[in-house]
Amino acid sequence: MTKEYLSDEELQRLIDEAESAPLLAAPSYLKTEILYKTDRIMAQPVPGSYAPTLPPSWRFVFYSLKVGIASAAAVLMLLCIPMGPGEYPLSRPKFRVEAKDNVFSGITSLVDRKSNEFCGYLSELTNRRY
Amino acid sequence: MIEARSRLELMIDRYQRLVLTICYKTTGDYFAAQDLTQETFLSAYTHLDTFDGANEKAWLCRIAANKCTDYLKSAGRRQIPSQEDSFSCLVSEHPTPEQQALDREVRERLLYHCKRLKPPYDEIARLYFYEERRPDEIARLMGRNVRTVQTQIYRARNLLRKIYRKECG
Repeated sequence: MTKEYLSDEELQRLIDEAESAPLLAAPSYLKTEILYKTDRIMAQPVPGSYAPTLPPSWRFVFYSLKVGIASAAAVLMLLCIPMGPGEYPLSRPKFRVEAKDNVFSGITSLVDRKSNEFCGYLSELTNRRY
Repeated sequence: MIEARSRLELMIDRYQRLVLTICYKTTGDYFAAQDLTQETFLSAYTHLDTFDGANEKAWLCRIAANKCTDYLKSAGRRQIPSQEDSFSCLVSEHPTPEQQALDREVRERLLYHCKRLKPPYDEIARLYFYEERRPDEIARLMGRNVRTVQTQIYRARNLLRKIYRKECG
């Protein structure tokens, strides 16, 4: 579809009529905004340079894909890397602390005994009741 | 680049009123006229290399007129205004084309529409578009961040644009 642009004569008539009547006062921010936009044009990367010139929506899509793929890879690694029995670091003997003649071993064993007694009492109570 | 920018500034100082008037007379929409004026000068800036320097005024007005035609077409207005039509928005409202009457009419209409906006956009629009204050001045007056004010100016402009577009049909 061809657009109906003004011919040269029509354009000249439009200019003459616009100039013969009073001109509209341009707001002061108009020039500021035009110059601001030209500065942004000048700051844009040169076509062919390494900087991407994709629109912001596409850049967001690619960024989301990167994050998604990285998350999926992390979860896959957790599922796929084999951990056989006895391979857990904490189960190795060298990681167990042997507390011989340790003050704290008395306290921990006391706590352990008391908590076991309490749990035993609770289970008896519930067994009698039900 | 610096030379092109200086040349652009000179063109803006010389012809912005003429270009704005042509755009306003063609579209009848004050904010569309401002947008088209900006687009005209930006287009001129990016195509300065291709300009032979013969008749700067005619070249700018040609860009402006074509942009107005494209705008009217894309806005669904099939009829391209003729010379008579281009003044229809003004002639029916003002019998005398004097400078003060034209400016006063445009500014009163602008103030009226600014007041119709919901807060805080009414005050932002009035300070920026009607009183033509800078964003940092507005931020100081209202005790707000400059970025917040700039965002609100952008939104107020869109709201006013919709109002003007509805008015001009």
